[in-house]
Amino acid sequence: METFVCAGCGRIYLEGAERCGHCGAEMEQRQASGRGVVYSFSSVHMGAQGMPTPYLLALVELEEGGRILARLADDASEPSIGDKVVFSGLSDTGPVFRIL
Amino acid sequence: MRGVSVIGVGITPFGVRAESLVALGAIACRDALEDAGLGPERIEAFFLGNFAGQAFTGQNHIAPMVAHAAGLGAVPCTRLEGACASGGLAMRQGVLAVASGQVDFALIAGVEKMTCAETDQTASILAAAGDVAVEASVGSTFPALFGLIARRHMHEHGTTREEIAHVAVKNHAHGKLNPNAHMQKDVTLPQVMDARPVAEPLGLFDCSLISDGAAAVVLCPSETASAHHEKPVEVLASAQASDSPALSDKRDITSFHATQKAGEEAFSQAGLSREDVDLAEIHDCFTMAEIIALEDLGFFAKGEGGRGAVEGMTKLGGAMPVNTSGGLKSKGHPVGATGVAQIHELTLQLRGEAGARQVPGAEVGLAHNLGGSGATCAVHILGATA
Repeated sequence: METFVCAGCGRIYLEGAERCGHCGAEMEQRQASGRGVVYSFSSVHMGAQGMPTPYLLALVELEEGGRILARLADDASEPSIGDKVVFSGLSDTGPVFRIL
Repeated sequence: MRGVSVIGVGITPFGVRAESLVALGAIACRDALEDAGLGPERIEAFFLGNFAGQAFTGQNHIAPMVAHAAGLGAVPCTRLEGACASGGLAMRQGVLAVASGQVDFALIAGVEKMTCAETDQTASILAAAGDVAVEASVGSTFPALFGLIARRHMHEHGTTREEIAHVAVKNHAHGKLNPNAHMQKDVTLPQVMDARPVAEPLGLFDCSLISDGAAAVVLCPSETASAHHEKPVEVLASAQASDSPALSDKRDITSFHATQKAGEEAFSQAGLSREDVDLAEIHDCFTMAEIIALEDLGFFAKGEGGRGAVEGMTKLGGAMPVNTSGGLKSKGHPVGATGVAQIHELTLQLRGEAGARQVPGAEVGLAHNLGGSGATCAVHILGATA
């Protein structure tokens, strides 16, 4: 998994840009394993406008450090905190992970 | 800096209201001016809390419109936006304007009109109080953010689903006694636990209400306050702090650093300890948020905030009743009005005018107003005049 990490605030992005969208500092390209664990999760039943429900949101803690908010793959059953996950790709709604 | 006191408060009933955004604000302002016994021409500065007037109703630039409708004339009008803490920020700017000597009479109002939007549209408008680039874009809503927070709190601190649900039962029991509350009815523990899920573990009754409404407050220097109201209420502290809204930026998502900082600053300004507080209005946008705020403000040790509603300390009749108004949960949460409505409730309580929900002998009250997932926090402490 290719990541772009902000040298200023440490935010992790999965899509490259010259500068961090949050603080404007320069970004550093880093290869990551794509593996992490579920830090927390929620099954969303009443969602944002135009987003079919239900869907599983997870705050994923990456193996290399740092957390990102992501979707769990559509076919995922309800996880537990600490479950191992792996990056499976980018969708229209950002990063998607699947439970290992 | 000089002392500042509340000499007038006004509020509209919260709920589904026919009046426009601007008219709601004007009604609350006129109520507050009448309570203070002041004509609108006496006001020298106006501060308005409003989160999303444009997104909900199409109207921006509403501070001068509310001021004009309330007959304030050409006074400086400033709108404050700090998500759900917009009202608390307006209150704080009013306090600073009077404390500094810049003006003698300031009017503060908060207003929101939300029920004109569909629920999923409302969810998206409110999601813009979080970090859209890394949260809303992934499909997170505010219930979802607080669902993630609640799940982690349960995991780390052993907080139970029942403890979280008890906050809703308590606040509805309080709101039933408030004639201005949006939902004046009890809910039972099974009703909360078995309600339709919104963002697990949170269900429908864990979420605050989508409401229309407005509240207003008149401030003047404490030294002249008794000339305008027989029971002025003194502002003992006005504090504010900030943090990143994004959960992924926070080391710990079971606490809000902005609440901790604003709380510490407020207690330091007031020279009071937690035991001195007789009642509190706490920002219960979700049941879980009340538990976290009670911990962050130092009323409970970390992980023990769930005991408040279960064991009764935070119920009417308990050691420190929380959200006697019904809170955002039962009174309703017209976002920009909420922080000002909290001051309205504390003022009634500290004057001894809160009717069936009066906390006997209340002398010190605290208002905690949180914006988004903890990015903005305003804490005020008010005291009754002896």
